[in-house]
Amino acid sequence: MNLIEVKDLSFYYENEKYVLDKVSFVIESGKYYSIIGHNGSGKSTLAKLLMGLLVKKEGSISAFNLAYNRQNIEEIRSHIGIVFQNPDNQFIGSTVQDDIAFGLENRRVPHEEMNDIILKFTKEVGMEDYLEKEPEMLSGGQKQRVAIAGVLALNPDVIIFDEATSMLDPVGRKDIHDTIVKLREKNPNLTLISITHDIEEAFQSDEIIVLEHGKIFAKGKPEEILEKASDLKRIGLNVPFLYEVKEELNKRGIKVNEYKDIQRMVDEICK
Amino acid sequence: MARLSIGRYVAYDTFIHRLDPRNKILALILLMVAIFFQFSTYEVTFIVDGILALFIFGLMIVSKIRFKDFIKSLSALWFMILLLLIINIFIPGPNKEAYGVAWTMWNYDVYWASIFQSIKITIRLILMISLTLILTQTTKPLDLTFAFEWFLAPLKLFKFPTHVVAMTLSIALRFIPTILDETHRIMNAQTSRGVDFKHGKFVEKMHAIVSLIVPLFVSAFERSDELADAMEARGYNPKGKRTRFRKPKWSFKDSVSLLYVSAITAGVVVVSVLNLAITSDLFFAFSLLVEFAIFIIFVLIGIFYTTFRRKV
Ligand SMILES: Nc1ncnc2c1ncn2[C@@H]1O[C@H](COP(=O)(O)OP(=O)(O)OP(=O)(O)O)[C@@H](O)[C@H]1O
Ligand SMILES: [Mg+2]
Repeated sequence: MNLIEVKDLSFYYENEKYVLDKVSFVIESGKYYSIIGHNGSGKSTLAKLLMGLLVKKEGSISAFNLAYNRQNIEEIRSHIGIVFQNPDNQFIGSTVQDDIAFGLENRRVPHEEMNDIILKFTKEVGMEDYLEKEPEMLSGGQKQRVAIAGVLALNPDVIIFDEATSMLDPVGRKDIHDTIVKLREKNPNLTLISITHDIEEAFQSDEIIVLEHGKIFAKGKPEEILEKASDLKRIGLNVPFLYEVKEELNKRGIKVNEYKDIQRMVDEICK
Repeated sequence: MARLSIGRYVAYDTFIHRLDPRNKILALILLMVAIFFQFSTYEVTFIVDGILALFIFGLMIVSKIRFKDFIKSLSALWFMILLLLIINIFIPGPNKEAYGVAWTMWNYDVYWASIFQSIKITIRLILMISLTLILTQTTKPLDLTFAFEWFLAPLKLFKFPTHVVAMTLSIALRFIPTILDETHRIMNAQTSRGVDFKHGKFVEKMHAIVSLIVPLFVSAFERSDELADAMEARGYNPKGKRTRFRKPKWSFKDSVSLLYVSAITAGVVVVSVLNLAITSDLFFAFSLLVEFAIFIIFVLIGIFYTTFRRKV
């Protein structure tokens, strides 16, 4: 089922320079998407359009069979959650529990139900011991986990991560990544859209969308994207390290097919 | 950086902490009124102020205010006290003769009334600061905003956006530490580029400050943009109806304690209205003693503070 349909979508800011140019794709239920592309290629702009924080200039965009307009936007937003890049600038409440409650208050969740919901979702991201803590006492990774809990608490069908790990240290990054993996295992129906600069991470998703100068450069399953590996390299994007190794080995006459798992790859080479 | 301790919530679980924030604000106002009532003689004034001081210091002990924080919160007062004394000595009030002349300095009469007046105002300022300290250290900023919004509720009739004001206030409170941290980061960054914030002529200092302010503002605007996006994405609509996570509950102990404070204030008002004119021959001896004690206490506090500050 198509949750989101984007057709010939174009967008520009005040300077009228196209930031997105005739972008088309669909988001299907339960899949994990990655959007990759250079700085300034329009990824965040696309995320904000999907969230209804910006209004399209041309083309069409609909979610859950609703067109994006003033009447529908609240309904659309109730299906989609977003986690932004900067951990500080999306921490709205003065403590962890207040921050998660912020979204619940907006959705008019009854006061009596809030405590249970907050506890449930802080547990899901492993932050149940920090309910009373203020943001200054938390690490970046912990703040991002609170942001994820805040989004989950609103029970969305789609979650967008806009470089949610890029301001974190390696530990925080792994932390969030593991949280997301666990999330997917627990909620197979949840659709994820992850905007990322981490190529290894992107190639673990079901579908990849490559943006370049506001246009879709390529989209498809990781294997399909890798068929165009040379094109990706031409525009300066990397491919996963193991894939590079495989290519180089093949070039030198060592036939290897595996590139997804290092152990299996080693086994194949040693055979 | 030493954390701002004045006006910061300190998480204990005391009787005062558990009171409804609205009650605490009302009690604060009532006690402030009591503190600033005028009485006919200094005898009455010091007796009433003494009782109030006992009560307020009792409150401070109950709410586990650290002595260090109390001293710190008074640190801005030293200059005020000196100024008060000087002003009162050189511009004595109309009843200056009532208690006679304390001593004569180069043919200038220093009246007892001037000194009593200074002491009176000093005591009252200390009490006022203590009350504010109790309020801010025992009440979360968010609860204060809630109480604030609740008191402003009648203004909704005139279409005053009380909710928006309260939300703005609570976000401002939330971001103060974040922005302080950022200020420090930028200062360090600029220092490492050779900007000197501590030394230099006025012009150089101004340059240094501009090098701090500009990036601070740029980032604050960026922040507010992103914050607005984050709030909207989570369904915030300033005009829409919202439910509440925090609902302070007015309990029996709130009613009782507010009644108690009201009684104290009423008592003070009655004493003031009765115009009791207690004058006592012993007052002089007594007040000299008190003065000496206050002087010693201040000196001790001063010593304590200066030695303490080096460690913090
Ligand atoms: N508010 C704005 N006003 C004007 N131009 C903007 C605004 N926000 C972004 N742009 C421009 O739009 C283009 C796309 O920006 P966008 O943030 O979508 O890129 P991005 O792919 O998310 O980049 P990054 O990887 O750095 O996050 C950039 O050239 C940027 O300068
Ligand atoms: Mg971006």
